[in-house]
Amino acid sequence: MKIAVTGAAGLIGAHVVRAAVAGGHGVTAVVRENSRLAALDGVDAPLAFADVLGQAAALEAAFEGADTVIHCAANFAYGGDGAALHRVATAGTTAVIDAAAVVGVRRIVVTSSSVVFGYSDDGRVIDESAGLADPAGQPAYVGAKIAQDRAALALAERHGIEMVLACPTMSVGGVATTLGPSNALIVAYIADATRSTFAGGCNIVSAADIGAAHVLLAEKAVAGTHYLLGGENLLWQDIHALVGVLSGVGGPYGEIGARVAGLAAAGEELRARLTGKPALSSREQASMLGRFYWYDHARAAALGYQPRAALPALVEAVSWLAASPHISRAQRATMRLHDLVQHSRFGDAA
Amino acid sequence: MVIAEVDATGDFAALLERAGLNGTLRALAAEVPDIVVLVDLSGFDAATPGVSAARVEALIDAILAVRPARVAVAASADSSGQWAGNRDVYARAELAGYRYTTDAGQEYDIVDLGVDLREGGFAETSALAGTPASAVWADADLRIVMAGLRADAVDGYAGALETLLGALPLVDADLHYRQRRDIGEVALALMTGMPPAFAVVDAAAIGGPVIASCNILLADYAAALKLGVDPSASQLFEAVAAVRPLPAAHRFDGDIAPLGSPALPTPLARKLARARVANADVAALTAPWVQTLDGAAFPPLHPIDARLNAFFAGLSEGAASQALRGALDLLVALAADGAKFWQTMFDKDALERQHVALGIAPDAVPDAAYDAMVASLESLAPVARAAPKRGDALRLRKIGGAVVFAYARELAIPFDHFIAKVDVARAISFMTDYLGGVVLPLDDSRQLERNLYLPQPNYLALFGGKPIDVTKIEVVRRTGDYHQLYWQTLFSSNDSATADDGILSFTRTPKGTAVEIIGQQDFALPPFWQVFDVALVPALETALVSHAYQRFFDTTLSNFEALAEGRDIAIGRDPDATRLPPAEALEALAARAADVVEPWLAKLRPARVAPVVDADGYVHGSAR
Repeated sequence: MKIAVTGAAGLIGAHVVRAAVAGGHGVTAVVRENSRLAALDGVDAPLAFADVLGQAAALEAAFEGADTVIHCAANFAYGGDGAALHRVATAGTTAVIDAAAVVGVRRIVVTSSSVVFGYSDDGRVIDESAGLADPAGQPAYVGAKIAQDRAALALAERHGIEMVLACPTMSVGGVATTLGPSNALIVAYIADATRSTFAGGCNIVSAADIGAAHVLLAEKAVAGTHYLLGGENLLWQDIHALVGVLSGVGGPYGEIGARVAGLAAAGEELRARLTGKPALSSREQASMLGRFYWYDHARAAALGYQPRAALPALVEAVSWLAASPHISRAQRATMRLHDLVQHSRFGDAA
Repeated sequence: MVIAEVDATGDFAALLERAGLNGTLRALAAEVPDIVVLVDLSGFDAATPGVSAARVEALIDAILAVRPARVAVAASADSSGQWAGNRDVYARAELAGYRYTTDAGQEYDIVDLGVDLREGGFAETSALAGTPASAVWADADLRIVMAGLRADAVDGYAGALETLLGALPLVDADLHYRQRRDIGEVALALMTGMPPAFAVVDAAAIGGPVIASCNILLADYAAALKLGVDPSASQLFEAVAAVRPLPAAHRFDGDIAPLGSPALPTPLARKLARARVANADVAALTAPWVQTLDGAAFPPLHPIDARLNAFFAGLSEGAASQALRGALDLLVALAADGAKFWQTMFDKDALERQHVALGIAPDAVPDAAYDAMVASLESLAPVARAAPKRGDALRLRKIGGAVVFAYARELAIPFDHFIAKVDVARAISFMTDYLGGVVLPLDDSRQLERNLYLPQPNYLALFGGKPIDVTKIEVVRRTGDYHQLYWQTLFSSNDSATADDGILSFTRTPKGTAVEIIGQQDFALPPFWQVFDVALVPALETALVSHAYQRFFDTTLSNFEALAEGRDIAIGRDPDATRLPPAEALEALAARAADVVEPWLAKLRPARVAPVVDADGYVHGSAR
């Protein structure tokens, strides 16, 4: 296939590019003019410059010659400017589909999110049969992604383009230039001197596996279909325990509720506003605590999707984060990395 | 050695001759020598002048009466330029009355020592090693320091030594030469690398005489005697005199009886001021507030500084106001102490990295001492390894009051990668809480090092604990399968340690790299902990010491890992990083806080509907 990947400098997009190149596909990495390209270091793929909210002609030029577009460009954030989230998710995706139609693209894979299928309060595992959730009362990001998926399916049908929606769960790992909310949850735990955990749970998956899964969907998925792309369903306390062991910071030592987490997140948001630095958590995220974002990826597995478990995903993530600027010098000094993490970075000394 | 003095109406030229200037001038080899007169332009108003331009021009006339020369009056910008206008050299010189021509018609130049810089002017063992210096100052055939004697909040008085610091070029002088370095070591570096040959201290502004000497320290000594204060009230004088004492034989040519009662800061006020400036941020933030400032000549750049300067100036009259000012000084000093403690404990990257001089000549230690050190430490190693286990990877016992310990762990990092990233010869600087220092390699295996660490454990900072400051001899050994560093204390400049000796080993293993640190340490405790002697409760002492050592070496190994990952592990602020002046940072923080609060305030405001005036002139508003 000839694949154009939008958002190619981001966490998911860069892994899609790597997986597609490794799979022998012709790949064009579509990035914005001002994108930092560290995530694409060492990748042999031509760059095309276009902004999904910019000139249509630039997008069309970027997609020229491609038979498939994998649209990863997104604004992934909890908290902040909800209107901007909606704009990128809907107007941006619409622009991508329109441009793809102009140059004759056959298939588009759009990066959605597992959260479009909602959550459970009792630990029930959700699959695609649950249907798109009601966005009312959900964080702006969830509403934006639901709106994106509906718009994408409708528009692709109008243009006669095959549309596939990839719905990754909490995707962790490197390499990215910015700290997305998923990796930020790991950083927040390492930075939290109280080493607190939460009720509820989520599904952890390696960003690298998600990259490969997008290419798999481009190759084999049924058009007009959502595919949940998860790894392993875990309680937050188990996720934090794994992070504690791998990073050497220990814990968790206690559980806090959504209300306390909300207060802490409000304090973090205030700190971020006063210092001008990004917040590691938000009240929107805090409102999601206590819930179970547990998903079943059997539909993707039927296509051959075989993600690794949460442990190797977290090993990759901690290994990358420990050496990244997202972990401060002071925090890094408190970490005592597990041998698995060191092996992930340096290989086996023997 | 001659110290001479005249009153303000005396024969200045004769004074200079008696003090030895003419002989010094005649001894210059150059036909037309370059003479640089470093002057004090630090004043902010008539009440805190530097030396008067008229006096400097009289000096120039006196010089040129002896022999032809090219004379330049020199100064450099200082930290005040960050918060007040007209603080560059030329503006200050003009405001001070320098005219490029003396009354006798002799021409001179005015030079900014902050430009035309040259590297390599200071010795490798100097506190200023690696810093640039003014080429004009460095190349001068004769350097003269001409200071105005004045009160100083921190040192009690300021004279020629204080003015000498104006030879240094960096604009934020307070940060680079007072906060990041020991000010005494800086002055010594200048006196050694580019020594002034003559010093004049003019006390006219406080009704005193002029003091002149071929020895800058003697000039300040005499100035302090005239003021009636202990010369060592000045930390600057004390630090310099400790290393380079006054000449044993010196003579005063003039009256050294104290002046009447010049207004000088009390010891308490000096202590408070020192506490205030001990923290770089608080020092920089409050500097504009406590100056007696001619706002017309040197307008504050930030409104907040102007307001607070006016506020403090308004407190200068009356006993109650003085008491209030003292209380405010105390509060600021406490805040500075608190900030320093907070940074030491929780915000180490806000501290200033330190530059220090080695403080010892490279050949001061005989070769045999290095061999003896290695033998001694290798004898200590089995004792340390056999000590009781006190925690994960840590063994520890006390011998002769010192803590003898062994800390060993194996890292899953390939040895060859590890040693490429973690240079054992620089390993002291990679340890936890390293604040600065200097290493001088003597050959492939021997080196001298001075290092500064934050007080250990960090909480001792709350009790006045000193930074650990140790000068050491070291031996480096490298083979294909292990790298080692041996070190042993020579002395501690601040008496913070009597022993800080050890062996660091990196050894190749099947898993990766084994790291072992063997050592014996005996650090001085602050007075509180000397009185509250935890050694009387061995269980408590063992718990506290073990926790402190476990934390220190856990984080040290985290530093080694981080280096292997390619990270920077140095604590403290990057001196080259751009930083906002404190007032601007405060204003920016206030603006962001206002942005946060504004929506809440808006909700509290009662909604008002603008009244409407109809065609008949009746006003309609909302009924309540």
